[in-house]
Amino acid sequence: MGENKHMKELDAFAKKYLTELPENVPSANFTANIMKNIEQLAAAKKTMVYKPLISLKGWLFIVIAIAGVLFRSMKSTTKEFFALPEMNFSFLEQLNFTSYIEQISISSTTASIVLVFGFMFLIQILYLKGFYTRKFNF
Amino acid sequence: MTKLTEEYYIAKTLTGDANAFAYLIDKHKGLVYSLTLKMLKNKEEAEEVAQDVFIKAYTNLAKFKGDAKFSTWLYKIGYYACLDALKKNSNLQYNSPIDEININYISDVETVLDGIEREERARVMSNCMDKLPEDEKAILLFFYFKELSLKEIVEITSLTEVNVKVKLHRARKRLLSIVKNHVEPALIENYGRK
Repeated sequence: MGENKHMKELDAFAKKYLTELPENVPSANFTANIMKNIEQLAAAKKTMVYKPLISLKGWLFIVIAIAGVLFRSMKSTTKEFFALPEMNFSFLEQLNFTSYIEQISISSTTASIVLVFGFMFLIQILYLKGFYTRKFNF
Repeated sequence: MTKLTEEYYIAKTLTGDANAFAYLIDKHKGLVYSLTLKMLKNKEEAEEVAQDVFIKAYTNLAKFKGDAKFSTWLYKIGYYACLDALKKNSNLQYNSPIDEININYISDVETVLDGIEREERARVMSNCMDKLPEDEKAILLFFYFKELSLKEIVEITSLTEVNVKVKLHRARKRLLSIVKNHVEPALIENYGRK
């Protein structure tokens, strides 16, 4: 009974003074700031929608074209539908690439710089990939 | 009517009309900001957290099934956002003891509080509220300031009803102890006059 009386009085005390606390008002551009963020989110979502490089119509066209070519080549008995021109690649032997490569000499400093640069480039690619993945993941 | 209007704007937002969400922000921004400011005590942080609450609500709007009030759902997001923000400042320690309730001093404290102006009294109560543990403070705010039902507080905090009642009682007792200690000099002065 005594405990209940305490509860009632404590309740009355809290009610009396806590209802007097003022309602706070955010800044004037509160809604505008949120809407700006929401618009950015919506725009990013739109740009992130998966769009295949070749559409369904494109694939259909490719399949029909390949099927048509194969069908026609199988049908034609008199002459080949596709006759690639014969090419002579013997000139490559005269160029002798291996001897050129053997003649190139790179100093150890240049080699180190190229190696470090390449390494940094790979790191940057990984970092940029991570950065953009984080940026567009909500 | 209000419920219908709110549902209309929620449905409109879900169909892709982001501008319809502005109505919902305007309607509830005061409620959410009041909560975040009273919990976090810092205007800039409170505004930032309140904005995050609405952005989270927007991105998760499809998950709102309408079983509870939209404001209750927003409070839930706000409550957890505030707890997260407070966790980052975890160096804050709330260890105000609860004095043994002496029913006589409730009226003494009331006499002192009633003797000061409303605005100053609200500032005193606000400062005393800041000394409460965050969960007790939130429950007091929901129950008395926002006048939410126990059922709604259970929904927001994910606590059991018994747990909410226990915390509410403990919070009231602790608040009274804090206020009493705050106005102690004035109390002593009053006793001196008697």
